Amino acid sequence: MSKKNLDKIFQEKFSDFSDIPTEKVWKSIEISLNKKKKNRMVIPFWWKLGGIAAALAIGLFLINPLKDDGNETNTIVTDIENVKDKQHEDENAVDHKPNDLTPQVVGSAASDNSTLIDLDNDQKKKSDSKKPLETNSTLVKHGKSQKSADQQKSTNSKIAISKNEDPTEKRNGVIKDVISTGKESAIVINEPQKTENISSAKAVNEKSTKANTSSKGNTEEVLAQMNPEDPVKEIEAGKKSIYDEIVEQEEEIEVAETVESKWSAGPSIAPVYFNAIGEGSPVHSIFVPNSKSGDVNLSYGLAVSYEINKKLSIKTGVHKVDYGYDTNEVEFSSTLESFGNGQIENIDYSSASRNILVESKANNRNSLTERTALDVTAQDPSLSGVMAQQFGYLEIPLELNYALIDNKFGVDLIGGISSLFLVDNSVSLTSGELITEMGEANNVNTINFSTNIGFGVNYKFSPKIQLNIEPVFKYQLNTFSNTAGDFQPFTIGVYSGLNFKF
Amino acid sequence: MSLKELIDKCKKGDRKAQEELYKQYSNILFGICLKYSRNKSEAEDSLHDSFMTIFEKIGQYKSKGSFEGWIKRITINTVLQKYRKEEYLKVVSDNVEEEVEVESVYTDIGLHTLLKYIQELPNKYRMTFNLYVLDGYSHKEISSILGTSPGTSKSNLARARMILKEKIENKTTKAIIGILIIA
Repeated sequence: MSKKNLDKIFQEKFSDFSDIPTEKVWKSIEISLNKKKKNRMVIPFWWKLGGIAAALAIGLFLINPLKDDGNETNTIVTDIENVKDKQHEDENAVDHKPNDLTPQVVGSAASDNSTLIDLDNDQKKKSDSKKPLETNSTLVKHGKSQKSADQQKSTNSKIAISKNEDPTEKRNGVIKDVISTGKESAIVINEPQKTENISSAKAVNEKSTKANTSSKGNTEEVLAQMNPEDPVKEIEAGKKSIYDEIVEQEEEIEVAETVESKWSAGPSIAPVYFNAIGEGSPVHSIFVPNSKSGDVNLSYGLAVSYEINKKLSIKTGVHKVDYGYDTNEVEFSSTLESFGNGQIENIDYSSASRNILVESKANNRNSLTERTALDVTAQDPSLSGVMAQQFGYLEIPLELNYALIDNKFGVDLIGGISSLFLVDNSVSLTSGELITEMGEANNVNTINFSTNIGFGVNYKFSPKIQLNIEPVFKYQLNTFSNTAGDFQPFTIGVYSGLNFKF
Repeated sequence: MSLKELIDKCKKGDRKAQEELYKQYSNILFGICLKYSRNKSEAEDSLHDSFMTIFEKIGQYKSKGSFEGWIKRITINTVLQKYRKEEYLKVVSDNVEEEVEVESVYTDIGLHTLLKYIQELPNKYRMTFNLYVLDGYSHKEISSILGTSPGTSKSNLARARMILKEKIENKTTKAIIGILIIA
């Protein structure tokens, strides 16, 4: 009897081996394909929305701050120009004084109940005028009311011009003071005139008024002192001095520096604790009586915030966050036969773990033991352990921060919502050191929202850098589409990070 | 419709094209699933999973190699994945013959009987025998797929052969005895 190689027997028989599967296979494939298609339809829609939100945020960042900067700069510069205008007007007023001398000034000022009377009466007295604008207007009116004096101005040649110069110098001094003292308090010292006008004025107008006041007060002295310089000043009087130009430039720099940046960004990291209110189970009703425990996971990402005003800022960003949730007291076993009806509906089993059967120990059911008892080929008795669920999300928060305290050390109140996009989803079984991948939960929504509330403490290292620590409670609105019992998940995270203004 | 057109349509998720692809290849892939699985029911499960993977990853097929080879590899991997985590039987002995021969009188056995013998093999023996004997993988490849050493793969193959030989010879012997009794 000839011998034949065993391998050849099989190779011959199994070359081009095929068989017809039952019709239900294609049907189940079709169902699975439909399910996947639905999931795919949902994800791009939300991602598109996310994209639009991101584009809007970038758009705001690119356009808005520039506009704001421009506006603020203009406003401030305009103010200063107004001051100058007023000073010019004041100059006129001052110009007339030497000609008309005090009686006229006093006369017109008195009619307006202005402080000028006092000023004239006590010329070297500290000026504490609290009505700078009124004073100015008084002077202007006074100047206008004496148009005839303007004509005299031209005839008064040297005297008038020298006096004309006088307030210009003072103006320089005033502006200089305004810049150097940050517009808070200024001491105007008119050295050439030996006039010491100490002012504690808070507004530029006020200062210019004082300058004028001082000039008025010292008219005669000024006349005497300024006369020798007349020829040079005569030329300069008509145009802006170099000093003026420098001062203006300094002003602009100062203005640019004082414009506060509204945008800030920085990294943020947080330990996040996930748990749920209620006794239910996200997996199956059989696990309702089981004890559950939340895991502490890590959240990290980038936070961007925009300051609406001093008190209020809006914050967004992107965070990667993982949530972990354990169902304790489960027992599981690998069986040789697939138990279609023994599988948990809310879990899509991975192909490698299709034969894993999971039951609750807390439920006092013994179906697993019964099944494994019948299954004589089972190598292992059932294992007890923990069913661990892990969900990974991309979180895009939108929160309002209200500053309760806004000093070097600050306290904020935080409220807002987060959109969470599911990127990771797994269920595994852990027994001692053995970890078995089970599959993924199919009742986890690909997009869900949370409402956030918390408070933040911050410490400003410098105007540009601050450290934040923000404990935030986030109540999940629709993490699961189908849960058993009352199951309301929430997270608590302590977000800390540095914030850089730019 | 050419195969290329069919594949292109499947890449776009065209349901009719997917069904057509399934019709064309399900029999041959089901054959693979049957060989590697323990029974028909598990084979159908694996066929389902394999086609899902094929439809999901068809975009990655760049028409460089044979399409049939590509989907066969996916199917084999899918079935292997299914059993990978199950505990494999330990190797009893390394002293086994490389070549196993059976008397020619025993060789005329039906395909379905041989398939049954293969399916009855313990997981690791079945995988190794299929991969090496029927699908032409080397021991090195098998050891990397199954996460074992080439030595273990050889031992597993030898054990599979011995079991199959016993089954074939037993069956034939029983058949001869049966015929003799009837006679």
